[in-house]
Amino acid sequence: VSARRVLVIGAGASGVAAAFAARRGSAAVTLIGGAPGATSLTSGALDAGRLANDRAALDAFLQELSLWVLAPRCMVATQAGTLREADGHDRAVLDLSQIAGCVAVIDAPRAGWDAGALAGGYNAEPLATARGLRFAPVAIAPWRFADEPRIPNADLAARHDDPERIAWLAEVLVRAPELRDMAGVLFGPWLGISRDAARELSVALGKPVGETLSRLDGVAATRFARARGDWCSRAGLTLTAERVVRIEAHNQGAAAVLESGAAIETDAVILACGGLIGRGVVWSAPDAQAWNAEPGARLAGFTLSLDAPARLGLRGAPLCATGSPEGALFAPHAWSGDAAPAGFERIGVLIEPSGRVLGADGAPIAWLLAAGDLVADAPRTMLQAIGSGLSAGALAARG
Amino acid sequence: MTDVLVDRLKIAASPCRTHSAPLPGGERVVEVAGFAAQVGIDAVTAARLVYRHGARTDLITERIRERPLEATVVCACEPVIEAEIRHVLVQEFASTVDDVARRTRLGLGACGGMRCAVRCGQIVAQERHLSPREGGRQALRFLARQASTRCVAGGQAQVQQEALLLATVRAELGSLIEEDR
Repeated sequence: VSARRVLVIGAGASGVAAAFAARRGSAAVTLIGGAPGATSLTSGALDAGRLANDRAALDAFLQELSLWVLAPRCMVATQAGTLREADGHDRAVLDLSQIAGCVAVIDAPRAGWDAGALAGGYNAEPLATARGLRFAPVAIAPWRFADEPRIPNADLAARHDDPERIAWLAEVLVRAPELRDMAGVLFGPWLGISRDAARELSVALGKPVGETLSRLDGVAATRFARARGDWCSRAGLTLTAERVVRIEAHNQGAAAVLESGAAIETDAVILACGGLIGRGVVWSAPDAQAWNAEPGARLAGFTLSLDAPARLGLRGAPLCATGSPEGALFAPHAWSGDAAPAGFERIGVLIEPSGRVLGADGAPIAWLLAAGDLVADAPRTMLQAIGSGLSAGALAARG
Repeated sequence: MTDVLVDRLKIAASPCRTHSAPLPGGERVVEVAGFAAQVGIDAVTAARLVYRHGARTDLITERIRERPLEATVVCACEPVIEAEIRHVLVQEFASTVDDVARRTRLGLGACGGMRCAVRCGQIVAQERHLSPREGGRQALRFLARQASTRCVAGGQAQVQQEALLLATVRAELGSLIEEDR
């Protein structure tokens, strides 16, 4: 019996998790995807979503990537000077919930890094005052080259992949008298891309050393890209960067047509091509479609970025056309300023709880699954992306 | 006309001098290329700064001489450097993130403040001696308004941008959203 063929479209967190789980289920996996979409904006905090039903698969995946740590109710610091809780974090991010006392915020000359303002911000946070946690800027000179106050965070982090440099930095920290009474040390997101420099520094100093979260275009995302590449080469998977334009039923399974015209035959397809941020779902401007639109879903403004037998919807119902002669309006889906997800954060492909996509007739399609930000009504969080990817991958491999 | 009114109302007024006295900052033309090279910023940033401040650019040059890292670009879209933000807060009566945006155009470019509003809030809190959370709250309100302004425009790029902006807000200022309501 030959292995089941599984095609995964999209190689962000959910796509990679789906590919991992499908391979774990002994399927032959094809992974198609370019640059990760929303995953490339990850801050390094893992927020709750639907945790994978299969905890063993989740642990195996996290261990394989060795990038993220599950830590329910951990506390992490942002570069906006705020503290927040999360359910896990990038391995380099400092978990403040494990610390009591005063944390040193490294005060090094660096464009846009204001240790005084950050420490002041953290000290004013209810999360810190409730636990008696304090922050103080501590002047340290961790740079070795004159350009380092100004180069981008990711470049600076990459320079900390050098073991010799980490040894030197550990020496600097150990020698600093101001750090002796500190309970932890907080850096910006600079501590290595492929190397776990935060852990090495923690061991050397004998106290937790770690980072703030990255901004949305930052270092945590670069680490994911590196870990993804490493995993693909270990697994012998080639990441195909071509676009899929159409998927359709074919024989017992499905066929995907690429932009080049080539077709891939497969037994199951997992759509993990992202939501609005990752451009799996696109908004077609009303003025561009009003005159030649067909009635129905296209008038609703949102469309899937590839041609697939899936329906977009939100709040459990298919997206309907608006009555306006102008065509679709975005305003009803916009953010109203509160904590509840906006309409545009909910829109996605309608699925049944197993992960199977609901077709035009409302019945699940056996060979088509969806995961990650593409799924309607699911939280747009990293744990949701990983969890839904793992279950979709396992189900696709089982058939 | 003003002269007639002053005469009739018998107001003691000094003679009109708007035709001879330059506006503040208009006393002298600042040479852009020289200024850019002197403080180490690019020509576009320098030209826009000189356009807004004229001869008062000297005050900003002075700040950067004392603290070179204030030449850092905070808002990359427009673009605005940190020294200008601090200058308008200290010297020009700007007192909120909104004021800074009106004076410098910070946050009014393509990304709607996604990359700079939070940092600007920190600077406002420092210079105006506000609590850091108040600075964050001002940034949050600015971002929320920018998001709703953009959806009038529609189009894929704007909608995607709005999704990005909201992701930023949720990642960094999430705790302030509930509190602000």
